[in-house]
Amino acid sequence: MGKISVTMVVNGDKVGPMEVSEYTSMLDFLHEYLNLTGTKLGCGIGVCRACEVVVERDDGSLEVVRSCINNVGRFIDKKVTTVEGHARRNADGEIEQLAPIQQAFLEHFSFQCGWCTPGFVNAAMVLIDRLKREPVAAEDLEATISEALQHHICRCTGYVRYFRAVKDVIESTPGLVKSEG
Amino acid sequence: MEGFRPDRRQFIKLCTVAGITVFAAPALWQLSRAGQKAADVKMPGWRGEGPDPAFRTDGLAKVTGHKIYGRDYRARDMPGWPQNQHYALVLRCNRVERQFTGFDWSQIPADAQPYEKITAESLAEKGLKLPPFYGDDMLLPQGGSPHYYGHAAAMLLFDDFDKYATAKQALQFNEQVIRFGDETPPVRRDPYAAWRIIRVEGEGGPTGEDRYSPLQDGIFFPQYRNRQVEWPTEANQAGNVSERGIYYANQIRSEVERQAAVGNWHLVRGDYRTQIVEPMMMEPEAANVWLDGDRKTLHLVLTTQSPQDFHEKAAHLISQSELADRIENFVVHSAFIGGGFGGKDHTIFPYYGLMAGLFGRGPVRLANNRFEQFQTGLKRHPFHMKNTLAVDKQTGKFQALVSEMQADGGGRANFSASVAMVGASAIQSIYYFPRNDIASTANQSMNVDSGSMRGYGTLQTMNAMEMMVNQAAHELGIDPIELRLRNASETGWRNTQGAVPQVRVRYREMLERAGQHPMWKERAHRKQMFEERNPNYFFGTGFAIATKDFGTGSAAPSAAVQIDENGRLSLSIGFIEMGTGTQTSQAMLLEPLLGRPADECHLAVVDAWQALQQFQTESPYTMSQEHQDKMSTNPLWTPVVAMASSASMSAYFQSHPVVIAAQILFKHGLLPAARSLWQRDALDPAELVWRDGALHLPDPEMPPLPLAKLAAEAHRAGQVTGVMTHGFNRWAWSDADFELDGEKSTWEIDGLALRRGGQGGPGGRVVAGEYEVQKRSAVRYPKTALNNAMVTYYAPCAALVEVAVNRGTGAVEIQGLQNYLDCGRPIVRALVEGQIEGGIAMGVGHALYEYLPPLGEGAGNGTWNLNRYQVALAKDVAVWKQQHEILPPESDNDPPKGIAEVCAVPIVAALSEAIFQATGRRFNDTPVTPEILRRALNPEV
Ligand code: FES
Ligand code: FES
Repeated sequence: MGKISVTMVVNGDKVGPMEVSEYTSMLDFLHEYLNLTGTKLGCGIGVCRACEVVVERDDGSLEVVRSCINNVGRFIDKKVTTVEGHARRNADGEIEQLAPIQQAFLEHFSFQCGWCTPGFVNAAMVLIDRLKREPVAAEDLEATISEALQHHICRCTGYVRYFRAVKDVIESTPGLVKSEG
Repeated sequence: MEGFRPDRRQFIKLCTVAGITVFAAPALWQLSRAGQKAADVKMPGWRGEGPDPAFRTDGLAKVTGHKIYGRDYRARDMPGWPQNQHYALVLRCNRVERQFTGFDWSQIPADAQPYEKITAESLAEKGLKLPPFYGDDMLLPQGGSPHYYGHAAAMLLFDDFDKYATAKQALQFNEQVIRFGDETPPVRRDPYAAWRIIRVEGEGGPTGEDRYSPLQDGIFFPQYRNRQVEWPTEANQAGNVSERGIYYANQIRSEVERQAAVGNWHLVRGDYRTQIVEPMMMEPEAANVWLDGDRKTLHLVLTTQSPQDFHEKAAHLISQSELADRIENFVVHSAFIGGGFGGKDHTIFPYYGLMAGLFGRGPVRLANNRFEQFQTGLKRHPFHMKNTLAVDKQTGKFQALVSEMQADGGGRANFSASVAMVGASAIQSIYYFPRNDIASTANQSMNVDSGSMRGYGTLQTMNAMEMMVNQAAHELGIDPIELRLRNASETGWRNTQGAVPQVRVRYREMLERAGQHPMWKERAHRKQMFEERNPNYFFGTGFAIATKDFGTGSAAPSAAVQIDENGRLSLSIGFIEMGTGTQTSQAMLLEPLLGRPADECHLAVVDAWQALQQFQTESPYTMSQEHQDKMSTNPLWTPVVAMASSASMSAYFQSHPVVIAAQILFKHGLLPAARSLWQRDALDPAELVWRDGALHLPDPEMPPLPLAKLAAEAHRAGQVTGVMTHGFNRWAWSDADFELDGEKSTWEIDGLALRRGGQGGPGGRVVAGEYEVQKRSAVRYPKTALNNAMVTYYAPCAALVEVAVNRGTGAVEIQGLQNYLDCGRPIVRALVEGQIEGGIAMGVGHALYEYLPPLGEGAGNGTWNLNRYQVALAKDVAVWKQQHEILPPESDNDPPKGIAEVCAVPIVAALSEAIFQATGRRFNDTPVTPEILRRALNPEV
């Protein structure tokens, strides 16, 4: 087993340097080394998107990356946010405020078992981040959401309440939808 | 290290099974850990202000990634466990036709060696055997040939993650590590069960006495010869149950042929096949088990839907093994379930986790990845039906149903026997048949075993019926909804078993509403318009309806409702949360009765019920009436002490003892407190109303009494402050008489214990010792003959769907979808709607995409995952266009019905009909994948 040394920032905290086997997936790293189990294993082969995490690009924009099919090495020195990292917490770690998308998923009863929820939260966060820079025309909004979430698998809900919640948040956040004319 | 000591307050003694004491630890999601505050059920705000809760009780934890699922927990999360997590890997056979001759351990990389290799021989040495329900050979002994694809042969234990991960990488798809020798004949066994449902109506028609029916005459069984079913052939109208049955069955069959020959009856006759379906709950099964040798205590974290059953069977398993004197206690750590759909109900998986823990030198985690879950997880039974539906050409009335169905149960029996029975009893769907002969067999095979997946046989058989009805309508030139209206069963009519459903049926209303929908009324015009605008597509509209029985015929739910001195309400139930929102909806049940929802709702409670001191004797399904009558005189006897959870069961069955417990708490705790606070001896409960958490009298002079005040008074005065109830339902509830506070009252329960005063445990948990059992003075159980009724509770659902079929690719796109559901009185509407949407997605997957081939190409070979197994995605379910209509409840007293399963059903046949209407191709088998449709449409390509 070859080892690599890993450092990164996860949910605002510096992690490492840590020695891990070079074949360790990011998902296993989160679970077995950092004990962050909010990111879920669905398929382990890059299909279902339950395992998505948010990574900040160099220009500050966000992208979603599947943690099951990407080795931990790909995340060295990156800023990573997992589902545990979106809400604002106080010094004791208590949740003070949820991200708007988390709040909307709650209020829409979007999920049931919740296993797919972290993936939807992260993908929706990244979509919202993108729309801040590239607002969408109102008539394209549904298609944009459908495209951003198209690969996510949920076995409990039938997707309807996730999609409506995302639409709600986008419509009620100023600047994400192009104003008429 | 702090370990487990039975005297510690946070572990609560549940019960003693086979000499092993079972304890419940506090629910895992209530644990705090560094940097993360427990997001437990006390999260303020879920109730909100409106009539419905603002969000789910478990919502905050789920949306922030808190540890709550069984799969989340590692050793270091567990209080008192050693920190170092060990890991287990199971090696499984991907072939069946050769003898298993041993292992090639050199395949394991040198730096990834296990410290323990568990084989059949290791289990035998310690006398460890599967509970009989699961069959034999938990690990395949050397020299045998695998019983089915995916049969486990060994388990390897590793003391760190890297070794485990490296070994798994090397072994998971390794063809060498398990060695095979000579060819062997396949392992064959008798069918798991066979059933026959024969009924002929009598002079009095649908509501009169039957000439013959299972309910009236009883049931009979076949013999097995050469692994095949042989039904008796002796027919005699005046003979015993089987002779009479065969006489009527023959009569039905010859009548069908005769009437068809003379041109009176139109027959729809065909083969209908369903595929093997993977439940695909998103959390694969996992277990974490630690044997604390010093304290002779086994700790278990599981993902099962049926924890009570596991603990009981596991305790027996250990007590009969060489390890009996090494284990005195079980500590059960309960967790949330990441989806189940029946795939985690009575699964064999936790027993592998148990074995790993027993051989482990530390806490051992066994966690399926998705390939392994496909390879070993319970499936939905594939059915092959040969059906004949006979319709009177003049009236359009159904005259007879003849069906022979085979369900493939796979390599282990599991629930195959009852799935075959339920499938057979459900094929009638919503219709009335004056005569029927339905035979159903559950077969053994070398496929991965099937279990109680959502639908439980009914999705398979009812859709076949709906396909036949749609075909009959087409061939007879009758509008499909009109044909259904002519044949829908009415309240009070007998079903194919001769029983009368217990709930009012509203099929007619549902059909009439669907018939008025523009998608239906204007379907010809809409087809024309669409095809004109989209020349590359065919367009079609389909309709189907289904009615799902729910219940098992021996439901035995328990509940406890208690209030502390400050008015905090806590509710404890045996059911677990599988995602359907049980915790939220059960908590809400208290609000109309006690002024507030439960502040805490404890799930999967197994410990508390011992306060009821109940015991059971024989199987509730097979006991005689005489036995039941005799045992009923013992006030602590019950037909069944505890039951397993299933999604469809909670709404109806679990709600029942909760509501009664709340009613008793009100009547014998809060009402006396109100009397004394208001100083009124006579209070008419009908006059009282709850508003803003306080009890109001219409009299403005009287100050409202907040719940806290009532609670304090009830505690002070020694009134009832906690009520524990147990109900028994065999297609009807039992009721019993109790004497409470000097007054005789009758409740639909068979067990009761009361608390006066009392502190409760941490977080409002029930402390059994605070309760005093109340012996009933008389009890009335539903007659044992109702066991022959098979099923009598129903919740109907209908689907109207429009599809566009791509002429080139065969891909089906749903253009419009209208769903109808009768769920009785919904407890939380948003949760019900979520169930509908989820059911539709699962039904769409079954109808159009999901498919596992049998045997060697199938899931048991270990190579299946979501890249090949396609479930419905958002694009497949018309996310932005779905509409639902929930029939308004007929009264506030309508009980909520179990609906989680039914919503997945009618969409399947509705889609096949829409495809037929679009393309002119009729498919009796599922799924109709784009590939199948493409070939049917373009045979030349
Ligand atoms: S678990 Fe990563 S995509 Fe499914
Ligand atoms: S909520 Fe269960 S998988 Fe999506």
